Amino acid sequence: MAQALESFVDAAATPAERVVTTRTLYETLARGLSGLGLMAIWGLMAGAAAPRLALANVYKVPMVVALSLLVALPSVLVARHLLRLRTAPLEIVSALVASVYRASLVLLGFAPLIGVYAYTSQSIAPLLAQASALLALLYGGVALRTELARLVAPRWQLWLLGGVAGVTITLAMLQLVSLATPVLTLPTAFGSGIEGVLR
Amino acid sequence: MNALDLLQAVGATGAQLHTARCVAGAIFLSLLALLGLGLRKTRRLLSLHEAEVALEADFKRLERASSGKEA
Repeated sequence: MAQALESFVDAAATPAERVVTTRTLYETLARGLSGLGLMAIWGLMAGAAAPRLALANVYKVPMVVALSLLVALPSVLVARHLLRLRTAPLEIVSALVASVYRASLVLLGFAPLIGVYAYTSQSIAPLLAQASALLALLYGGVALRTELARLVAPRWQLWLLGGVAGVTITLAMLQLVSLATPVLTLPTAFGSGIEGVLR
Repeated sequence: MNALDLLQAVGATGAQLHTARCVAGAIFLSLLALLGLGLRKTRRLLSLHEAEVALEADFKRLERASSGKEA
């Protein structure tokens, strides 16, 4: 593990550059883990009406997002290679993780409200949970665009890379949600995967 | 047709569906463990590199001071 991490860092020439790369790696890992934690809180609140569902959501919701990122990562890195981007893979992964972290903050903001609705309204709570998840997904896309715009590369290439990332993450998430269903107390269109959404 | 319907359509049993979920869960838990381990190792690596930078700065300062004395 240490050797794998050092191989990321050793590409940097000077010790000062190595500190910057290691710090980026550290912040990326920390953001990734805390983002998953925040999503677990949203999952707990989304299933609060049924205790077993709420407990299962603690791992289901972060699992869906983490596996979606994992599934999308190869296509993003291949797109980077084909577009001949000189940006380091770590910087692209860092931008992806930062956007997911920001999206998880949106989910955290809605979590208490969804918790209240889960106990007081059985019909509105799932709708609110879906609306907050869609808003988080949308904000995640905007955050990814902002994060990618910071990288030093031609704009059209970054747009294309962002498009590939957005499409693959969304497609992977749709199917993984159907595998993790039920997440909410009522059946939703997302529970049937891409066919349910397109129907 | 969702993922579970699709598995059922090709004759998968409830146990196989359960296995699919378990595999996803196992991959997620491994990923979580790797992230946690990576975070710990990176923190150690970061403090090592910071110490290296500080040592280098000290060495340069001492070098300048000794060359000043010689002059």
